[in-house]
Amino acid sequence: MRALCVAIVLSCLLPSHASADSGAADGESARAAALGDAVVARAGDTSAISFNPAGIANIDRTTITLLGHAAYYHLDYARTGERGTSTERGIGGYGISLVVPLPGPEWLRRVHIGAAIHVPSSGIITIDAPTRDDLPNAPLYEARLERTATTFALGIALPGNIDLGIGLTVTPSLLGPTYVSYDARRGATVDEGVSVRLDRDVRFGGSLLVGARWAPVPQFSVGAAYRQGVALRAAGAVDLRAGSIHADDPLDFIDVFSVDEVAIGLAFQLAPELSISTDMTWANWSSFRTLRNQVPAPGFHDTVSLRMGAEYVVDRWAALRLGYAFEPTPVPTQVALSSYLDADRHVLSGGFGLDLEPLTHTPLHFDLYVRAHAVGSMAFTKDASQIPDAHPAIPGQQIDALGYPGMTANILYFQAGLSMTLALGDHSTVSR
Amino acid sequence: MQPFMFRRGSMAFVSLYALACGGPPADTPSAVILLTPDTICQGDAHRTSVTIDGTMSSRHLSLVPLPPEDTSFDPDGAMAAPIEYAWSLDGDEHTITGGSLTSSTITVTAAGDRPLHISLTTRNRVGGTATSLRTLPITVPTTWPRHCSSDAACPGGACRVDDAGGADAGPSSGTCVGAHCSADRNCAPCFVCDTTQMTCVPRTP
Repeated sequence: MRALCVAIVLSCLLPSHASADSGAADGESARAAALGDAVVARAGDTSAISFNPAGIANIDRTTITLLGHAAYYHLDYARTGERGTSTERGIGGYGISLVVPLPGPEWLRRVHIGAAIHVPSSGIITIDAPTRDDLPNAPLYEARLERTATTFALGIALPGNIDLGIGLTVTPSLLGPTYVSYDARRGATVDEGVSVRLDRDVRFGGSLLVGARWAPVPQFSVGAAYRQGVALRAAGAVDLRAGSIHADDPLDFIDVFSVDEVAIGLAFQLAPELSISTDMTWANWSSFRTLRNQVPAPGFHDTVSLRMGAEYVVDRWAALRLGYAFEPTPVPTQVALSSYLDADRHVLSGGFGLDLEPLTHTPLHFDLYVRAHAVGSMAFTKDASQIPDAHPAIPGQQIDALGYPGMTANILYFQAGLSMTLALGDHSTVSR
Repeated sequence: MQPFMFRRGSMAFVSLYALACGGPPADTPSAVILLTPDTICQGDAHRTSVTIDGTMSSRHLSLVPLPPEDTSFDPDGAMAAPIEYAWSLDGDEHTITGGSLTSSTITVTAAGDRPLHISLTTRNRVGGTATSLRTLPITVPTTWPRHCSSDAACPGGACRVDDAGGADAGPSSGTCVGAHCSADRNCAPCFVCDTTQMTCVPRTP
């Protein structure tokens, strides 16, 4: 009965089959994606709102960026010695980012404010609760929830070419007193005689962003950022009444979209037309929790990833970009009940920027990127001694794990995106 | 990592709900899988016949169970139309010895190398479908510990405490012994009767 209740609640939350987010970070521009997201020390576009809010202090006029991302996800997995299963889906998201330098006297012009909103192509919040905890899934891809997020940022340009920034990412959660009531009668269909009532309010979760950037010389800059993780919850109570049966069943799901990260970055202007950047990011994956807010067994471990990007300005109106990232997997070998599918990944990206301003005097900029995740093949063999007994009351150990006796899997993930940036007004300068 | 929370008014939620909710579920059947027995032993080697029964599935999903023979509720004649069954078996190597993948009940035997995952999709007259997944687990015979203090430590058998040890022998001074038997049927599943000792012992694959 509880499974039925959960299914009804979730079917209401899921206007279509659950799909992952576009895989793009909030406010991630095509320029940042093409540079492998190695942008903590790089200023220059609205992506800074989410990667390092200090970077918006370097945007010297009102800038609006429209973003669109699409991705293709393909997963192959098979139990050892069996025919494989494939799943694939196309996913997408879009957003808008805005950075405004405040007008007025110089002390006020040092202050820049920014906002970015990210919207999945379908759904507002999705928390997909599988019917079984051991269902094979890729936690960093398909299991990531679809959600809307808004980030607000404030950056200050200080003398000495020091920029400081702070931001807040806001995401909605169905947390708190959300009630679902059933008044079940015998009817032709499940929805006849069943009333589902979702009321009261929704809560918003805020995740902090803090960043700094320093450019001691025009050819070099260093940046650092702390990004708090985002976790969404769906909680409430199911008040089930079916005839003389009355059950009060709590629901409480948590979906970890991202974990706490600390990133440091360096950027170099090697030549007037060539710049490179690199980021190193520590991610607190050991804080990962399952949908039921439990530590997975075995637990995830923290990772340190490396990102690099290069931009070559072909002409005043055109730029080519390349990016690379190595992201070690936080998922340990899956010897117990769960079957989280993940492996170390190499992320390759490339892109093109077209600036119309030198050509037409229209302050319009287009950027395009493509990105491929090369996820290594994964294989694991279950250890029967670490799989919980499915029916402890029966003599012997009952094994019913979906991943037993072992699995192999492969993941393909491709993304592409386009952003259009419009600059408005005059350049706002301050003494540095 | 614990993002802090703050509250917003109910209007935000009303809008959110209106956007997110796709309406009530369509008319769907239910898919119920019953297994007899509900486990097989590791290394069963097709010795055990397992009945996989889908007849408790109903043409309309209801919070009140509708027995399959119930025809008292029939507003649209749907009850008279047979429900369609589609079985899918994967995991353990298996042989279907009775019925077919479209019949309401099938019987299978399995190698007992790994769990057998059984999926049933039912379809009613109006095209509604429901799918259930159930797993036939394998039972790995438990190795008895060297010493025991209670019967619970000796699955399929009993803990016999030797009084000769006295109080100094400690709480785990017993030894596991199998239940008295004269044939395999006297033993728990996945245990066999050792006819030389007349006791049940874990069956080795």
